[in-house]
Amino acid sequence: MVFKFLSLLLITLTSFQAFSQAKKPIIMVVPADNWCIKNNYSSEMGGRQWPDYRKALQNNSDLLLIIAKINSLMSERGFPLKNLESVIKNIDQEQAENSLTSSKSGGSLVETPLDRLKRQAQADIIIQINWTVNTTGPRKSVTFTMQGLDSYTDKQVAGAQGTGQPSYAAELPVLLEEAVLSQLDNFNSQLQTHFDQLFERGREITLTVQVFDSWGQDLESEVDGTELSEIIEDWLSQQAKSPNFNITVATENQLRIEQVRIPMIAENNRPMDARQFVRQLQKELRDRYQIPSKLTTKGLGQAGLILGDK
Amino acid sequence: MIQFILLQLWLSFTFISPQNVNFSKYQDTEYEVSCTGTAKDGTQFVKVFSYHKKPKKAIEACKKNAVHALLFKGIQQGNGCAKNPLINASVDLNKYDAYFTAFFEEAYKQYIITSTDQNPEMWRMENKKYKLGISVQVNYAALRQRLEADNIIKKLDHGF
Repeated sequence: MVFKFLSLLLITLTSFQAFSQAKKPIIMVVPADNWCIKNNYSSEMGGRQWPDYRKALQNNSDLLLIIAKINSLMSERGFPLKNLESVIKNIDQEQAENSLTSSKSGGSLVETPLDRLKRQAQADIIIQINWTVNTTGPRKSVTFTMQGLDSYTDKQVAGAQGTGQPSYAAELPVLLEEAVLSQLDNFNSQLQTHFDQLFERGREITLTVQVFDSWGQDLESEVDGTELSEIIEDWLSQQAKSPNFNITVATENQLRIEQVRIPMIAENNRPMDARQFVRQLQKELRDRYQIPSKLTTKGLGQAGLILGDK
Repeated sequence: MIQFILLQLWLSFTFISPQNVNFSKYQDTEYEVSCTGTAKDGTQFVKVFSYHKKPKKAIEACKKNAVHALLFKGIQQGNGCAKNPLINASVDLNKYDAYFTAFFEEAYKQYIITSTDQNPEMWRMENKKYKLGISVQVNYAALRQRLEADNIIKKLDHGF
C-alpha cells in the first residue's frame, strides 16, 4: 500500500515537473536585410527595398551551408532550428488567403516580411547572419556577424562577430564554416545569459490599448471613480512578473506600455506568451467592467487591445 | 552566559567560516593568453606564456593555464575562442573547490589535444625566471560537456 502510494506520488510529481517546463525557445536563422539587399535578393514594396528570403535560399548555396552548419551545432546544444524555407512556404499560403490583418476599427496592421516570418515561424529568437568576403591580393578572409534578436522586443540578446584568418587557398564555403565555428560558442554563451534572465525576470512584451471610435468612451473615462488607463496599469502591476514597466504613450485614445515582464509559465502550467497574457486582461475587462475588446497581435511579443467592440 | 554564546558565534564566523575561493587558486603561475584559432571538432588553439624558474615547469604550467583561461577568464585577445569563461560569476567556487583542486591535479590533461611543448618560445627574465610560450589545442567542447554533465554549469536548454 505504502509502495503504491509512493509510486503514485512520484508519478504525479514527475508529471507536474514535466508540464511546468517553460516553452523551449524556437530559433530561426535569417539572412540580414543588409546582406539580402546588397546581393540583390530583395523586392520593392511601398517604395522601399525588402529582403526576399525565398530568392536568397533558391540562389545562394553559401547561405544554405551556413544555415545547415548552425542548425547542426545548435541541435547538439538542444535547439534544433526552425526551417526558414518551410516557414516561407506557409507564409505564401497565408498570403494567398489574407494579405492584411485588419480590425473592425478600420485600422490595419501592415507587417514587414520579417514580422510575417516571426509570426508564422513563432520563432522566439531570430539569428540574423551577415558576411562579407574581404580580398587583399590573392588572400581572402571572411567577416562574419551573428545577431540574436528577441522576437518579443526586437532587442539584440546575443551577438558575435569577427574576421577570420586570411587564406590563399581556402574556398569560400570553408572560410564560412570556420567563421560559424569560431563565433557560435561566444554567441551561445550570451544566449545562455539571456535565458537565465528570462527565467529570473520574465519575458518582455509590449501592450497597446486603443479605443474604437464608435465606443463613446475613452481611456480617461472613469469606472468606479478610477480612470480606465489606471485600471489597466494596476492590473499589469499585479499580474506581470515585475511591477515596473515603461509607459511610452498615454493619451485618451491610446496607451502603449513597453517592457512588461510576463511569467514564462502561466498558472495552468502552460507556456505563456503575449497573446495569452493579454487575453487575461481582456477577460478581466469583460467580466468585471463589461468592456468588450478586440485582441490583436503582431509578431510574438506585441499584443493590442481595442476597447469598445469585438 | 549570553556573552559566552555571542563570543562563540563570533569566533566561529571569524575563524571557522571558509574564505571565498578565487579561481586564481588553481593556477600555478602568472600567464598571458591569446587565441590563434578554432577547429571543426570544437577544439580551440591557445597561445600561452607562463613564468617559472624552471623551464620544464613553465611548459606544464602553460598547458594547465590554457585550460584555466578557458574555464575562468575567457580569451579576449585573438579571434574565435570563447571570450566568456565557462565558469561564470554565478557558479559558487566554494562549493566546487575540491572538484577543481582535483581537476587541476591531473584531469585537465585529458583536454589537451596537442601542444608545441617540444619547441617552446623561451626568454630569460631579469628576475631569473623564464618566460615560456607554447601553443596548446584544448578540447573546449568536451570540457563544456564535462561541466554540464557534472552539473557545474547549465546546459543551454536547461529549464526548457
